[in-house]
Amino acid sequence: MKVRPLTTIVCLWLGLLGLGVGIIERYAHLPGPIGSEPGAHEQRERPLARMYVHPRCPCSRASLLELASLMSAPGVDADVEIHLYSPADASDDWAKGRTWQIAERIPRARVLIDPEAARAHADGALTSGHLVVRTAAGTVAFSGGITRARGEQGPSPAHDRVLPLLRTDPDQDNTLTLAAVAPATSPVFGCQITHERDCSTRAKR
Amino acid sequence: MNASQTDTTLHARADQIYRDGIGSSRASTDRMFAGLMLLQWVGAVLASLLISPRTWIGETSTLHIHVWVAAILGGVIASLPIALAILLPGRAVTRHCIATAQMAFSMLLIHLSGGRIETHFHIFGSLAFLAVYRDWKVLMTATAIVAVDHWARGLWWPISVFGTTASSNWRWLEHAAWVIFEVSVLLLAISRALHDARGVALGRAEAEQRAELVGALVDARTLQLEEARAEAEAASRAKSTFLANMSHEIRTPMTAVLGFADIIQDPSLTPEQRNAHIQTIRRNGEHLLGIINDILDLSKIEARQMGLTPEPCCVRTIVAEIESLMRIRAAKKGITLESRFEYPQPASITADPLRLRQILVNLVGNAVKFTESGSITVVVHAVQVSDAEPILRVDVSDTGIGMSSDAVARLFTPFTQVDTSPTRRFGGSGLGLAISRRIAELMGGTLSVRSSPGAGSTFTLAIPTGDLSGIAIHHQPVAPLAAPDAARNDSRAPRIEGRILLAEDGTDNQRLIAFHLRKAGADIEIVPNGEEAIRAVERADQDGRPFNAILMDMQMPQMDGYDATRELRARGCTLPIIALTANVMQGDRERCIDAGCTDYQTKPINAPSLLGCIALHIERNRSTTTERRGSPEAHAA
Repeated sequence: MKVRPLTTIVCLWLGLLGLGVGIIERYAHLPGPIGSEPGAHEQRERPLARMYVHPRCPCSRASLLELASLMSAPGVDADVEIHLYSPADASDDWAKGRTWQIAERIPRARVLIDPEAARAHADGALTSGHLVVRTAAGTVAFSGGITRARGEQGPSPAHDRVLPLLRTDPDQDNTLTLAAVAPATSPVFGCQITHERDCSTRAKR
Repeated sequence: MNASQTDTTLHARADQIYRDGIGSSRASTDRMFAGLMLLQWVGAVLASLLISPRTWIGETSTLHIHVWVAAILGGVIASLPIALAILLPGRAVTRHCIATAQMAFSMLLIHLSGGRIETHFHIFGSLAFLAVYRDWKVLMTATAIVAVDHWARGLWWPISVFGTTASSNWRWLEHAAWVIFEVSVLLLAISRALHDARGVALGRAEAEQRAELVGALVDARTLQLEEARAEAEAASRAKSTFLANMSHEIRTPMTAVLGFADIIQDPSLTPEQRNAHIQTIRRNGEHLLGIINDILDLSKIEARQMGLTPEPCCVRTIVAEIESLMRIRAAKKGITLESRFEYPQPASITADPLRLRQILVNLVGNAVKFTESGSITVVVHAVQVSDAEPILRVDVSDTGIGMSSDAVARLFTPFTQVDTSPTRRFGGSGLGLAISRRIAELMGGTLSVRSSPGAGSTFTLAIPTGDLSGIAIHHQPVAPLAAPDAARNDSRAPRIEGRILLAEDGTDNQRLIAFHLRKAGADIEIVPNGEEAIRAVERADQDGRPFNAILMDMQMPQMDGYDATRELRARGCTLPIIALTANVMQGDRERCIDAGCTDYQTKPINAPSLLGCIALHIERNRSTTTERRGSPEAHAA
């Protein structure tokens, strides 16, 4: 069968398009590394959600917006801390950009500088957008990302898992009980907060 | 071309215009999309630089992969459509590649914007843009890409599009349905736009057809006008030539008239010499009169004033008269003239004998004029008396010089002579045949000719015989007619006994007419206008020497003949008033009679005719007066 040159060119072009779409889809859904499992904390009056963010990671803004969405949901009564990485010798202004401003607008959020990502590493967060949720009892109930892909805001299974954990009324959900047994996790999509040190990578999707 | 063919042609042209219009529109849309592709490519790169310029690890950063993707993949997406829009505009493959590229750009931009719902409107905008092609297949391609993408993601990767792994397998249809909803609206708009485009194409085809028809009509009219102008110019040239020739034709006999009129004043001339010169003057005068009569005849025909007086006439008699008349002229040239009848023949036909005679005289006269040797034959063909409309056909054949086809073509054109050169051999007005053909046509017949150079000519006159019922039909030759006696035509001039009043303003005509009247025995009084005529009549009555007749010129200064006649009749004058006029057109006689004239004579005068007319009316008037005096009423008075 004789194939016309134009058909060949169109088929090649379609193939390149498919390849390109495949590459960006793969990149969008390629999770970052996760460090060691976070340890338990002291008891508190309310659940605590800590998110670790690289202040200049463009994809993490979606994570912050997802957190804001969770905190705005009815029945949510949790404390929120957002730790923005800052290099050791950098001033505070290095971290105070657009991401900082978004973080400050999240209800009940405390925005903190995390020099050299010490706190992040302590909670096993190596990728920007990593959220750790602890129950009022101090147990780690969730550790991972809350976006469905890199930089993509919107419905996701992680969102559905975290929302009950941020509510204090135990009658609303029994996840607290389950979380005490096995903390939930989810892939994190974002920039790496720091170069990997000697902390071991725990999970990748 | 019939109506069905016209309709088919119209619709074929409308289809052509429609296809050309759509093709041109699609090529133009291709170029628009080429620009749009470039814009989207640049937009994707700028968006990636704005949203996610760099990716970080700690305090180090590199260019974000989104920027590379926007630059490279965006370039790949845009490249082929731009190339096709430039190289193959209007082709289906170009449109479908553009539709595919638009959807690919939608995916790229949605991805670069982090899946923002707002960016999904790029798909709907793209569909609207693609609708500009007015090609439903293009929308199908774009819709299929969106539907297949969502179907595939929903099947194997639902979280990437629905955000959950627990969605229904059919949820992709919900997304696709919104696209299909817009596409449905766009398809409706496309359908209407195509319908309108077909209407516009049909309208344009009709306009073109009308313009073509009008153009053809204008061309035809222009051609007609050009032909008419050429004919008018030819007619003008012919009239100019005719006038030049007429000038020659009139001056020649006029030279003879004036020249010999001078000569006869010479007292040394013998009576024989004087008589010969006077005959020359008369012959040239008659020739002049013939030319003038021809011109008048043609004028009458062209003014539709020539009336015919159909009456029973004997063709044998007319042919015999013509043969008798022309034989002498033919004999002088050494040629024979004979006539032959074929049978059956009616004893008479219904036609105007004067005009029939005029045509035949003209044909035979021409034959004699243009034949140097040989013979002239007049053949009266058999009449099919059983036909509904029997035709009399007369052939006049000669062995003369003949004519070329060009000469034949202009033979019957007025003011045209076969030879118009200054050195032409044969004289004449060139009106004879034109007049003859017009008269033949007035009679409901035709006059045609067959001729070739050197082989002579045959003129054929064909006229209807009129109703032959009750007419005797001869099936064999009848006794030959006695040749008319030329001497009989030279009848003696009548005697006029009585007083004649001549009202005439021209002194030469006064002298001429007075001469003839006095020679006939009349006592005459001459007045120069109508007023003088009225006074003369009254004065004569008062003097007891009344006139016996009045000869009234109708065109005179102060008071013309019409007014004078009306006035005389109003005053009770019962004398015969003979109108004398140069007006010989149809209706002139009636005008004179209406004014009160008793009879009508034309100028130039024919002396015997004039004198006979006057004598007749004087005699009639005397008889009438006598009868009145002898009547009981007269005695009672």
